[in-house]
Amino acid sequence: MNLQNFLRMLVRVLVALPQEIAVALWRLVIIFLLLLLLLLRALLELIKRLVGKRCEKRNEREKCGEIPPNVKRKPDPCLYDQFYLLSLGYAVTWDNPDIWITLPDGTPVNSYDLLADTDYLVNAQIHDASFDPALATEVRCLYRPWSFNSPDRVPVELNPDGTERIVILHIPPWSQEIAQFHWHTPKTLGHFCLQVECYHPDDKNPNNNLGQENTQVVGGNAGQMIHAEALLFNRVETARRIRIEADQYRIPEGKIELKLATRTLPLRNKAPFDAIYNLLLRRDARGGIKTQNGYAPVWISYAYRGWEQLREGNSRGKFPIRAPWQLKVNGEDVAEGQTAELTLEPKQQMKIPIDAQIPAATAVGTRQSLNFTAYAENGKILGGVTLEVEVRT
Amino acid sequence: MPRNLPQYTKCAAPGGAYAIDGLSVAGMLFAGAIVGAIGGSVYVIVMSLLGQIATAGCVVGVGVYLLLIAGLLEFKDWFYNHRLMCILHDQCACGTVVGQPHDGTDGDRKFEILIAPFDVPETEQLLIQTLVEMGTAGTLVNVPDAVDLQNRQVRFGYFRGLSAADQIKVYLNLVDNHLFNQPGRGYLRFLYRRDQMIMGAAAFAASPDDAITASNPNPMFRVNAQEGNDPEENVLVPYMHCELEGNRLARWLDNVLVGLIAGFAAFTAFCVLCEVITMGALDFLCGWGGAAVSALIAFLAWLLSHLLNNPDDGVAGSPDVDVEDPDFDTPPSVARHGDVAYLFGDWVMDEEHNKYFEIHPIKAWYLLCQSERNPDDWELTEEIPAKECAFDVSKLTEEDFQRICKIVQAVENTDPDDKFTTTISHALSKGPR
Repeated sequence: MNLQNFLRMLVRVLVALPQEIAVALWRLVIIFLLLLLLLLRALLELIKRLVGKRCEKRNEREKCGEIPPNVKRKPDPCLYDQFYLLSLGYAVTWDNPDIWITLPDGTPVNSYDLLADTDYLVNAQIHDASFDPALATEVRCLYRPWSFNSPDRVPVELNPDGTERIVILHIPPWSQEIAQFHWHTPKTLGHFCLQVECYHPDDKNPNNNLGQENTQVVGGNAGQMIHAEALLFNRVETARRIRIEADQYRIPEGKIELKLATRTLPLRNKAPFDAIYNLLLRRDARGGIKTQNGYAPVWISYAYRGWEQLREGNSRGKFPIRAPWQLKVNGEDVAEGQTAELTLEPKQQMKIPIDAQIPAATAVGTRQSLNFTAYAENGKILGGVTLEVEVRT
Repeated sequence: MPRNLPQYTKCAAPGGAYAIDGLSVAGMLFAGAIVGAIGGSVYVIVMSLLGQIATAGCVVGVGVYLLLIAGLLEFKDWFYNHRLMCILHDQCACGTVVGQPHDGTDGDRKFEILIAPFDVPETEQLLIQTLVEMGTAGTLVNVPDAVDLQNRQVRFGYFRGLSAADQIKVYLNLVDNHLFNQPGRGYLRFLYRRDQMIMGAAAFAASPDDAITASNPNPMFRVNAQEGNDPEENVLVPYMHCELEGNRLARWLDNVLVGLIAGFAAFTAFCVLCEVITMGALDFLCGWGGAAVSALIAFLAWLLSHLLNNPDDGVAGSPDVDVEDPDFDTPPSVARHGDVAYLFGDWVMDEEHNKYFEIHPIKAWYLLCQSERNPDDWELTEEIPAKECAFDVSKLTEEDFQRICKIVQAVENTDPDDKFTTTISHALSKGPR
């Protein structure tokens, strides 16, 4: 400590002394008041205990490594997750807007009609639905046979050492980034579904991290009956009653506007008689006299409100297949909100035939979405496929 | 976005921060004595105005109380305003958590970070290489065989047997000649080794010489084992100390101050009353009586303040805030040994702790990788790949680090937009609530 620092310290102490004395005496007054109130409270609780009422338990103390809420950052990497949306009551398409395939030069291709033994680029758009950036988000991409829910998932791209290639993205808040995977399709011709998963170790919401691209584009003429098939699996050890629903939902065009809401909380433990407790003053070592709330770190958090706007135009059950379209799944009519039901034995797989009658009066160029979702009897979502019917002549 | 994170500690400009040493303590006592003398003089003047004699016991008592109060204020002022030297605000850092986070006496939550892009296995192997090289060169004696040094206990035992000066030599050699000299991997070297271009001339001049060739080099990274834990669990890597701010010490000091000030008020009141009532007949008792009464009152006041202002509530961590709104509130996050995190905070030098660099306070903590590896496992073979997350800190390039830093700085210093307009497709992807 040099002379300059010594003199500064002396002046600071002389200035601070009267304030500290005043603050300490005020604290004593408030402390006595709180003491009286706490004694009264303790007496009432004793009476309650004596007449048999239970007292509240304190919360557990946090662990040593816990990061407080005003310092920890919690991103929410996500993508169009059909399972998550269905569970919230939204209609879905299995033509995932966040997954698309191109040739290496960027030319878009249809995800169903891929050539064997050919190079493609799978593009996976990952969003961050948080005010905190999603740093080091892991993205995986897998394919499986064209089906509702085949268990055979294979990574689309491998590293030179044979391990699965995982793309790392750093996504700014409320923004999105694209992960690209190089896919050399198998030598045997086939049709595939794609799954993209994102992962973050501190994900605010890990339930919206799995997207599927299960789309078949089928061309037909007006008046024609078109036919498609998709495998359905029963992966469990017991027989399962499965229900298949169909709709003609499509993600609408348009935008929504969300508004910012802010919450400010003083980050301190709540005390009994908190309003009076907050009258305790303290002279902050950095300068200034503050209340308990003013002295505590402040936790400002944000949210965007207005998500309920999405309900309109996207709710499940509001887009049944309407006449004159006719649609059968496994021989059963699924138009107008009806469902097809079937039973699968344990570990059984079954090819589900889908037959759609294009109305004779359908204009050329019409593109009709037909979404099929399979549910187990307890409502568990098993998977789905989308047929995009293009009327060509 | 700005979190309006008030800090308990303010760092001082270079030259304004200093360590507590004998001279500082003497200075504080002297300043306290001056304040005490001023207070005693005021007491004498007031008593004169009241037509009373100020007894020596009461004058001394007033002076002693004020000396104690002033001394406490000086200590509090130093701890929270002059202990840390500012280097750069809003600095980005990244690294692996080594050891378990722990809480200090002052309430700060402490994390030790092995700076990126180095991970623990690589650093341990380079430490072995350094020891063997220094043994071969004759700088160290009795260095075990490299194969034996793969045994963590042998390595730890040998290293701990070295003198503090030799341990520092080993670490400086490791950091300068094996870690940060690797091409493209030295972009965070300045968090371990002084760099005038980055720190600025004033901070550089106010920090101790850490050159490997200095007679008594003072490294800016930490080399000691984690405080207070079982030494066999410690990992021998050079690390940077980072702290989340708490105010346990400030609360404790405030409680003591309440006691002292209550005691001072009681003592002064007792003395005045004693003088007035006894009219000078029992002057010799006023001082002693006042001391006894004021000590009791001081203790009771301290006790009350301590009960209602528990210092342990000032530990940096998650207070008792219930989850009220899932839009705002998120599950807790815990930092563990082996996690990789990206930090944002102020870069300072701690005068109290041998002048180390620190990130203090940590203003934002971004978890990049949660380790599933058992930190006690020895890395004896490459045959079995360690279970780790896909983000590999050892592959973090300077370009990626800077890109992330830009994102983080923008987020931490900018308010979010009042409105967010997006397509319905993107809104469905971002997850309706």
